[in-house]
Amino acid sequence: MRQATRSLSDEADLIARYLIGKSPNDRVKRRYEDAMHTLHGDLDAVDRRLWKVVTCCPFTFRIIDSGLAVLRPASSIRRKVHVMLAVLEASPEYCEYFLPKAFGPLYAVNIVLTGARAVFVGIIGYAALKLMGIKGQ
Amino acid sequence: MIHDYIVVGSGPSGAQAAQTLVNDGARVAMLDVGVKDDLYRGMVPDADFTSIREQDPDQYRYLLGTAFEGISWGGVKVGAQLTPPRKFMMHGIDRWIPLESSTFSPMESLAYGGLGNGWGLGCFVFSGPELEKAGPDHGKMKTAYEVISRRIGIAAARDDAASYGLGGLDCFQEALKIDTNCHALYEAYRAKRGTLNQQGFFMGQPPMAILTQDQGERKQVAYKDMDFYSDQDMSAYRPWMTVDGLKKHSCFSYHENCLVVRFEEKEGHVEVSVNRTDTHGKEVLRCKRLLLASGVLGTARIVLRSFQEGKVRLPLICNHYCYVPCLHLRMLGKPVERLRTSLAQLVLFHDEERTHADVAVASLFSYRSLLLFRLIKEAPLNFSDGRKIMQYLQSSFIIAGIHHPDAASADKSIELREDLSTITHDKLHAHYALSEEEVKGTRQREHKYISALRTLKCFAIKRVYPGFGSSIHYGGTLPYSRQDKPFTLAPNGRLHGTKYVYVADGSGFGYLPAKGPTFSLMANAHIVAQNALSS
Repeated sequence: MRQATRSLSDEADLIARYLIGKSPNDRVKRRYEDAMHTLHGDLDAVDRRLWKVVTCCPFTFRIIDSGLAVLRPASSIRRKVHVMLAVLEASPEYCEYFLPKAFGPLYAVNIVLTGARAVFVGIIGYAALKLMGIKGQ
Repeated sequence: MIHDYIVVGSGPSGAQAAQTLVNDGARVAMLDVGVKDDLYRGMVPDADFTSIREQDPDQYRYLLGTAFEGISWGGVKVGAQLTPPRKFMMHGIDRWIPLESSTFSPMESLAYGGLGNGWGLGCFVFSGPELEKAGPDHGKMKTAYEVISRRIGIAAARDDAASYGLGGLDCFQEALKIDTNCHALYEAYRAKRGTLNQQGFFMGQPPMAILTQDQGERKQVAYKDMDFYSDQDMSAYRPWMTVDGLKKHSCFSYHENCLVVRFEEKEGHVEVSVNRTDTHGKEVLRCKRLLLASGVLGTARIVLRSFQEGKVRLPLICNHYCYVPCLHLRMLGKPVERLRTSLAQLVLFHDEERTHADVAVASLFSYRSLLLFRLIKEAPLNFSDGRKIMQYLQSSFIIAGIHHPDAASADKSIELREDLSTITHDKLHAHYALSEEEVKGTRQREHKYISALRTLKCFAIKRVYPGFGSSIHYGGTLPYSRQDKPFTLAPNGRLHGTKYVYVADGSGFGYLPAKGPTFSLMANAHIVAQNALSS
């Protein structure tokens, strides 16, 4: 049990760093653990394989998530990330990452570049998953 | 004991029918399952959405749910839009009123206040041609709309859309404030009004069952943007408020945990059979007049069981709809005001022929209080970049919910079949399909809407079809008929084949205009109750 809790806590840390670029506080980690215990997001064989890659090489997270978004949008890995996203959004410490606010014109350029990167990584991710022999849902 | 009147159901129709009866001094018993929310009531703080988000460490409990039930995964389905504090509406449905269908996913409710707990508050007056097709008497409805408007309180504006939404309604309060996003859209509409009107498009504010001035115990709207989570200041009307008020009358009694399963007419009275949802026991109550208002599907179950005829198929109608997330380019990167409502800000009617007879409706919402993670999931992007992009785009999102009118056809029906695995030993089966012609007309209309919105610099991202039944607007199972045919209603709302049984919900509407029907259902329930009183 302690092992499982530690692994969920590590998982929370990994996903939050992927989503907002920093480790979450302990309260968010505990909430993520509670959510995952309640929602039972078990991984199937394909997701287990991909999750192993993500945990070993965190820099691949964006690529694999991008590929899954196109090829297997209902993947349990995506579900884990979605749960963490919801937990972060409903925490006052992280609401600044979600609430609408005024952005300057330069930020629009930043968003265009982010969009272009998302599409590019999506193509890479899709190709990588196909090369790994993963089929669409 | 024989009650003078029994009203079945505490939803919008049941509450208003009971109010009319009680106002006349009648002795009324209301039978209802009456599921209540004991978990979230009192949990949501009295603050605006942004302040809550910035300050409340326990916000996840009501935003995501104590069992994280607000984090839904998978496709869009009926009830998915309900926030955790509203999900009690669907409690007990599968167990007590099961329905099977591969083509139709309705939402039903056994809650105290029924489906009215999740009502979007749109109060649309049906036009003369629409009422002619639907069934209720136009002249009586005109008066009934005024009565209901006084009871529930409506905020509305006399604008371009008023002739479609408000009709000749005189009694209403000042309109709600529109938020910045939709205000910019409305200004764009005003600039291009001539072209859009020529195409049959008319934009304005929807009449809403919400107060902009205090009324009794109910307070005027405080624009907290928490409308999907709480009814705290009671500015938005919910039917439970009417029933709460009725409970103070000595001639009204409320019987909870009562699922009405059938009725039988005896000499001079009606016997109503009830399954207790708390003790699982059975009871029989007696009344001189029975008013069924347990929702279109609930009433159909009761009527079909009561007549116990072999295989009977009843017609079913339901507004089909799609929603279209759009990007309103003028609002990119702009801030969003703290104080606003989560409700529909604008409405766009489409009446190509200007006949008021076959009008489609798009309700326009800004997006914020349903949280960003639900939107991010829908984008085919990685979550990390998706979050950043969606946060930027959030202030420019407009969600258009396009509703279409519906009429009966052979491919839309329900049937009650024996099923010994259920508590009532039966299960409702539904089949719903549109004809090719209907699909074609619907798609063409949606295309015109998208094109009109594009004229206003509001660009559609995609069309989402949540499936038939998800509009939560149902009708037509027991249509009004002047002929004494089984499974139809007399013009006064009495069920043909009975002497003392009236139907006060939307079962009699043989046509559903695209406008939300709740206001018309309440007006009709008032008329049916008056007819029951005068019989």
